[in-house]
Amino acid sequence: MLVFIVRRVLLLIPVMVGLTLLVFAITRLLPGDPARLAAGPNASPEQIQQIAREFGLDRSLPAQYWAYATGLLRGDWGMSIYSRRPVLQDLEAYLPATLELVLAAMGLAVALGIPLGLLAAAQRNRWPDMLTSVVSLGAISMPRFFLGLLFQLCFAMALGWLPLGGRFPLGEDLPARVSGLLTIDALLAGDLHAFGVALQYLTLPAVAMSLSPLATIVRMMRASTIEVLHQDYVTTERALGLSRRLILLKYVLKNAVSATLTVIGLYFGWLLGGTVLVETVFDWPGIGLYATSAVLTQDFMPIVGVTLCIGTLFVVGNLLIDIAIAQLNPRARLR
Amino acid sequence: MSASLPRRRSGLRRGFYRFRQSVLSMAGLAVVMVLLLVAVCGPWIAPYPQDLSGAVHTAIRFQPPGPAHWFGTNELGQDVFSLVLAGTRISLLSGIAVVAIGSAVGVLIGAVAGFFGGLIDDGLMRLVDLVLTIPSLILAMAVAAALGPGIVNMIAAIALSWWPGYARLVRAEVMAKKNEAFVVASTAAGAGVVRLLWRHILPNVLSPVIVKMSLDVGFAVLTVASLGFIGIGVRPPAAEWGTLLAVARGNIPDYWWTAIFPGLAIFLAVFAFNLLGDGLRDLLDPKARR
Amino acid sequence: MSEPLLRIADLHLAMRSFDGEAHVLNGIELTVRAGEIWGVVGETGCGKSLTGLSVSRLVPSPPARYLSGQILLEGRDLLRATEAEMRALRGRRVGMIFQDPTTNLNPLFSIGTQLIDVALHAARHSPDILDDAPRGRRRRAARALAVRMLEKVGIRDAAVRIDDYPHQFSGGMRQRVLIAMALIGRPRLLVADEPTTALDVSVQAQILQLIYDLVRERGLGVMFITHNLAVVAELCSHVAVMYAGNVVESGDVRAVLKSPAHPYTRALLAAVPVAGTRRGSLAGLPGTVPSLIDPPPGCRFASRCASAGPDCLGGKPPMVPLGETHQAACLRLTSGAG
Repeated sequence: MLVFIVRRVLLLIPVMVGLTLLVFAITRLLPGDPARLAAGPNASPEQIQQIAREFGLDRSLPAQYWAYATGLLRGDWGMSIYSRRPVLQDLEAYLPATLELVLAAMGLAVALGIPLGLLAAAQRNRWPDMLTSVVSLGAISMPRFFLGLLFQLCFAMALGWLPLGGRFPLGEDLPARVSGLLTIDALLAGDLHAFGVALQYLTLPAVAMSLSPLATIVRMMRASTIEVLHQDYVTTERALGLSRRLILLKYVLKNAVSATLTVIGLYFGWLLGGTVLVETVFDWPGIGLYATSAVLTQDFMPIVGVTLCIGTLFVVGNLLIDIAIAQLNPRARLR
Repeated sequence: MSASLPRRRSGLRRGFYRFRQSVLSMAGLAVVMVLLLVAVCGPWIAPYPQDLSGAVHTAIRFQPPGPAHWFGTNELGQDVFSLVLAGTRISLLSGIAVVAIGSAVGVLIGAVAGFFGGLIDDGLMRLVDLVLTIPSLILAMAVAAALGPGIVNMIAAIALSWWPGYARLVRAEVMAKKNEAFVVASTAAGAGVVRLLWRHILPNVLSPVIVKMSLDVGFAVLTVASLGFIGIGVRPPAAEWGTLLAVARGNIPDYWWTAIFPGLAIFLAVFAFNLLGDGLRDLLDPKARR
Repeated sequence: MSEPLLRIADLHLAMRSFDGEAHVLNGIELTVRAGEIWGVVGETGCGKSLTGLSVSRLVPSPPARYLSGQILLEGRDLLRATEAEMRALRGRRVGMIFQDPTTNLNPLFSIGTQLIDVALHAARHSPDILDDAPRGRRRRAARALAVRMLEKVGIRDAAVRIDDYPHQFSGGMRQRVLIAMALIGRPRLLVADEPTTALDVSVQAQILQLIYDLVRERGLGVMFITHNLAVVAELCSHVAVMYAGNVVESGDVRAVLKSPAHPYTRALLAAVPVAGTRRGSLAGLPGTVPSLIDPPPGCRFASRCASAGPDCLGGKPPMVPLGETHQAACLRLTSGAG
């Protein structure tokens, strides 16, 4: 297992190199003057020239990439025109909020999606299954920003149950920063009040964000459970007298989850992409909101930074999923 | 061979039967048809066409839905119903264009990779893996930011993140089909590579590609609306659903109708395409038929 | 004579499909006594696997529907048993082995886990399997039993290999594990559905020998489903020949194979290549099995039978006794000379 993990982590290196190449290509190869983009829309020609010199745009492309990549390693992710701060510093400030949101949404989706999908498959073609199928397809089709807006309209504005947006009330004391995830930090500090407040703020965005991956997981889990139920070994298990419950909850579940995880890996990007939209709706101070405000001010470098950051998250997330699959499936460890 | 022909046809007939039986797929198809119709003639059937070119009526700002304005009016006194109707064209057209471009590029790359194998395959597939590491919305955002605003740039930006799925799909199918008897036979008979790909392999990979396309249009429409919502892509006064929603965010909760109707339009279009795609998959992809 | 272990009497099964309802089992008759090894032979789709699955009531219904008949296991009609009662019998009274050892073991669980669960299930109803171990020690007892069973089927280092996963075993070894699983609950009847078909020829013989030894040692009754007459001749004491949902001929294996009476049995035997068969002289059977959705009246083999006449279409031919156990269902029985 350890060997498997180490090998997988080493395999990340070429992927990360590729990722930086891709992002580099977006900044340099597409039409549109990178210096002008980096300098912002209101820059004077002198400023653009100065940025071009700073970026070494007069040098060859490989040399430029080398400068770019080593810059990334040194922590030079460019400068925001808008805030005049280094992009990396901003990302560090905003990333924990995004992580908290993504983890909460993913946790919710997995915790609800797997039992629901299993249930739907076990009840196949009866009304709970039909209902689940339609509702989940509807949930996948629901734009997350519209869903967020509806949540705000209903739970925040009309009913007043939960806060409209943001992450924590301005006047109150934040728990001591350990992980940057407010709910976790509040628990670590033993501050239940702060935990409750943070949870209130987290609920609507996390639910809005989790609905479409939740529905996807339900559908995948249903499909793979049905697939597994058709396998020969299930017939053998039944033929030798094992109970339906034991077969479903032990033997089928593990197989179906292992198959579903593979698919979840592919949809993880869809979840990460959604963070931009949900953060925008709920003014959740994460990297997505950072990127959106950068788009509106045509602040190019933060967008590139967020792209790289989310690409990295995607790669790391998939690594974790691979490890989970290997944990479940002894054959996967050999690959 | 002759014995398998009628069975195949009856399988297809059975598929159509199931598709017709499936109320949901039919509903999806009906909604898609209506949307396409609206997309074609939306500007002509809009009750207030002058609003589409940016007319402002300050006297009737924020009228709630009523007989004169079914969906109410927005902050400029424009008829929301007319705007949503007109938005259909932009959203559907962009969504379909994205899938068309993405699938064309993807099929080509996938066919080349699958057919030639070796280094070409390795290189192209690494590129595919790479593009897939960045979520399509984020990649489209970055590319659109580099290209600048505009509907064509937006379509290009999304299509750039859309082709890898097709490339993977087609590559796998081509690799599987390449070794089947009839392809090997035509190679032996001296058929050219292009002819072989065009005449023998592509028709065989068509149905999974069509299924994927029909499932993808909904998501492409969703992505277009998302970019509009963020503020990339179409700029007002051109009516695009996501953009309408983004503007309307500032009007809730008092003027909720300005937001609800464009949002419902997005949901309806995406849902209809997904229902249709699901039905088509059951029809064309025997593996998924359960 | 004592009560037979298994008696299938006039079993009729219909299967719904898109094109209509097929009458797939048309009055099956079969009696298996303890110690007898019955070979059930026939072409693909003749209903031999469905008959085997019916003994454990594993045919999914719908689409399947039992029209009439009885399946008596030690005198008890299984078609009237509840699902809970059936479950108590599966693995404990009836063990089953299937064709493909690569797909019949759950890939994500160690073979030990799977064996232990079957043993624990069987022990719930007959605790003597685990030597009446008290609740807290059952799992350990089940594990010990699993190791013993694995040793018995010829897995070396069973105490270590019990924690291995299916993919760490070869095909033949996996089939041995499945045999251990089928027998760990000490069933009295073993239903084996083509257990050697998916294996290499060299391994086949070993597995057949293993099944034979275990069955003899425990005095089991066996239903051995196969399409391979050579295997029947080698392993079985009795044979039942099936065609299109009917048992057309059955009896002592020597009697049936030496002097086949039913035209179908003779055609089947003629299709077996034996040493010295000349190239091209292999007799294939003309025609195909009739549709079971609207089967022609009368003998279902009539459309392919060389000696069929108009009277063959009159009704289902009755079983005609030919010897102590030997019987065949045909209006034009010929003596074994043919």
